Amino acid sequence: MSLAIYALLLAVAVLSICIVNAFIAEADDAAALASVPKRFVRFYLVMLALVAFANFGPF
Amino acid sequence: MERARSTPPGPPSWAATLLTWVVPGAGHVLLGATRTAALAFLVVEGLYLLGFLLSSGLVYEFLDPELRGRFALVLTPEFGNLGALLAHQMIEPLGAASASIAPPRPPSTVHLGAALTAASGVLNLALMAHAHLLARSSDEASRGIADRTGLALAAGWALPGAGHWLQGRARRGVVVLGVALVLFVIGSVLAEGTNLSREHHFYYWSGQFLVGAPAFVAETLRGHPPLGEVPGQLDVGLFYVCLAGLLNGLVLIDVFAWGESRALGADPVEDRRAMAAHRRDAKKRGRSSEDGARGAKAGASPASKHLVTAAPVAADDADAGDGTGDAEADEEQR
Repeated sequence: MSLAIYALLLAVAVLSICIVNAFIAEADDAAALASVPKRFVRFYLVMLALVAFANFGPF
Repeated sequence: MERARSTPPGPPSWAATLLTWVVPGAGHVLLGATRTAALAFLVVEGLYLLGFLLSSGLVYEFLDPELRGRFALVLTPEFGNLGALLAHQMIEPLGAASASIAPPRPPSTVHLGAALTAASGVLNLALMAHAHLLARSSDEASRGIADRTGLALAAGWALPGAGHWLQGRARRGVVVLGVALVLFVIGSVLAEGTNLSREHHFYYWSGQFLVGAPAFVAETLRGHPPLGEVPGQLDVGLFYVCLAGLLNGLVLIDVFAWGESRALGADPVEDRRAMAAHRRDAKKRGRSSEDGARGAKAGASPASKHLVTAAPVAADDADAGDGTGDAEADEEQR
């Protein structure tokens, strides 16, 4: 699989986790869904950093 | 915000929960709900017994020999029904069948049996949550909400999103169903369906089992052909199906918390925010989580405050103080 597909798969997993995280943190539907983009960007960037570290880090 | 109701006198919720874990329905007997107890015992233990008989007690023989440690079964769904699991181990210890000179052949219904014993464990977890909430319900109305919450938890496991739907939160239910199905389908495609077998992926199967009906239906439709070539993306696929199940398990926390707030007489939305504020405040004070939460004075008092304090605080008592809802702080002032 190409790198783009891996990145897309990672985005799907991250988005799913963020949605569930938002649902647990916030009981109001509108507020929970509104917080998803911010959670997604943060978490996805962290995951990308971790992947980059795992691939190009001192291992 | 509505005020939390006082905690009723009676058996502590932890005792009811732990008893239910060991013997389904025992916690309900302690709480005086004997009819619920009898029904729960029959359903949960009946499922396990049926699964045991259909699989000839060989469910755990799917586990690879090198993984058969003392706590190997802690990560199985059956761990939710501890009493039955222990009884099973006394009758048919892990590894005993395969260690014999002539290992018994598993019957053709072993996979159905495995699903039934696993379902028994998950349903008992919902029953434990119900007992926990029932012990803190002070009147008929809150007991009714506790009943519906237990049902919503079981339904939420059986079909992702169904618990939210039963609580009148259809939009959230649809999103949860969508998330679970997308992850499950992606994972099953990547693993080429080999994930749908407890025999081949014992622990991953346990994780994906929390998706409920979609996993069971897919497994039934696929059958259990022998494992041929290992799919190239097997690990990625197993990760996705397991993630689908575990996220569905996690989202049931939301179902429980909603029912808990309502049963304790609080507005679920405000109560969740009060809990978050409570935790933030405790963190800011730089204390350990438990001590910090005890001493913290949040802007509002969450109904589920007992989760972060040593003992339940009756709202009536809290109201008698300075109105912040922090009974311990009021006691110190006095």
